[in-house]
Amino acid sequence: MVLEETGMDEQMSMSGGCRSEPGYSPRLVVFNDAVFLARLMDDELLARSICSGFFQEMPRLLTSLTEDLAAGKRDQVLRSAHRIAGAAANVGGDELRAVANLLEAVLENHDFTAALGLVMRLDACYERLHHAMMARFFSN
Amino acid sequence: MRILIAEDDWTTRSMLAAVLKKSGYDVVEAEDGAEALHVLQGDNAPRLAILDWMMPELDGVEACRQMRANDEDNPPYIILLTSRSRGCDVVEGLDAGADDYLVKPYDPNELLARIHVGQRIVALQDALTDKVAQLQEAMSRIKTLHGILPICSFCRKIRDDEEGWRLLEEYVSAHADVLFSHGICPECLRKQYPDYVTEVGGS
Repeated sequence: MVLEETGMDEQMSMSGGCRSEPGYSPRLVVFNDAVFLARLMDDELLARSICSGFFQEMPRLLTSLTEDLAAGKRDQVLRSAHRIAGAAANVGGDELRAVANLLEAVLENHDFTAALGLVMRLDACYERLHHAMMARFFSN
Repeated sequence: MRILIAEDDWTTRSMLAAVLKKSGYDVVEAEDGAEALHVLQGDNAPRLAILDWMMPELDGVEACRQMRANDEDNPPYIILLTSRSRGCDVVEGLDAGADDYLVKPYDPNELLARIHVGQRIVALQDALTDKVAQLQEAMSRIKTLHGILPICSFCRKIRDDEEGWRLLEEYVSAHADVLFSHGICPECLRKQYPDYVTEVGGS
């Protein structure tokens, strides 16, 4: 079930680098709950448990990524971006995963200006993903 | 079966562990490559490991290299689970010693199928190790005689390096895994007991 869609796919394709990513969808969604559940063998209780951990883990990762970027620690930022992309991909957060992948790509090219802009977009993507996951698994 | 998961990201590690536990496996978790290596080199180590490539301390590929450098009799079956999907990455991972390679995000059914392959390989490896041990045990019991034996042309005694001349059967019994039973061949019977042969009318 696709809860939300964004225009991210057009921006991503214009910026380049994401079309060749495995699993790239031309219609990026904030939260692909079907993919998430399939990875957990359709266990809703387990999904809720993973969501709770994800909500604790992701803000920590985003904070350390922002701090490391400000401190110019490129390798640390790359590692955090990679972890965010992996975690987002696992929970079906396609939009967050795509932006994290893009951040990895610009950091590989030492483009810190672009990286700063993407970090802000990461925060926004996570907020949307958090909202969508809450609505799917914790409403009522 | 116990499976080691080495993955630095909590979400990925937890989802993987949950799927494996749900499928009946015991899971051991490590947060970096050094911890994974420590577990795999410890006592009662898991026979199957799923390693992420990019991890702090020691990455999954280097952990594979170090495991294979040990040249163990029963090495673990290692699956590299990584977002690196280029052909050169697959080659590097397998060349480092991984037995299998799976790209993230994974399909849990495909992952379980690959784990089943790993279980079959581990079982075959264990069976082979048992057979080799049995063969070595059997070989240790087998005594063989080879070389040139000095034998007396008349009494047929064998010259022993340590104890002088010994009866043929004593010598062979001491140097080979055989025992002798004693009897009399017809020719010797006629020669040694001619009266007995005449009495019973044997030929």
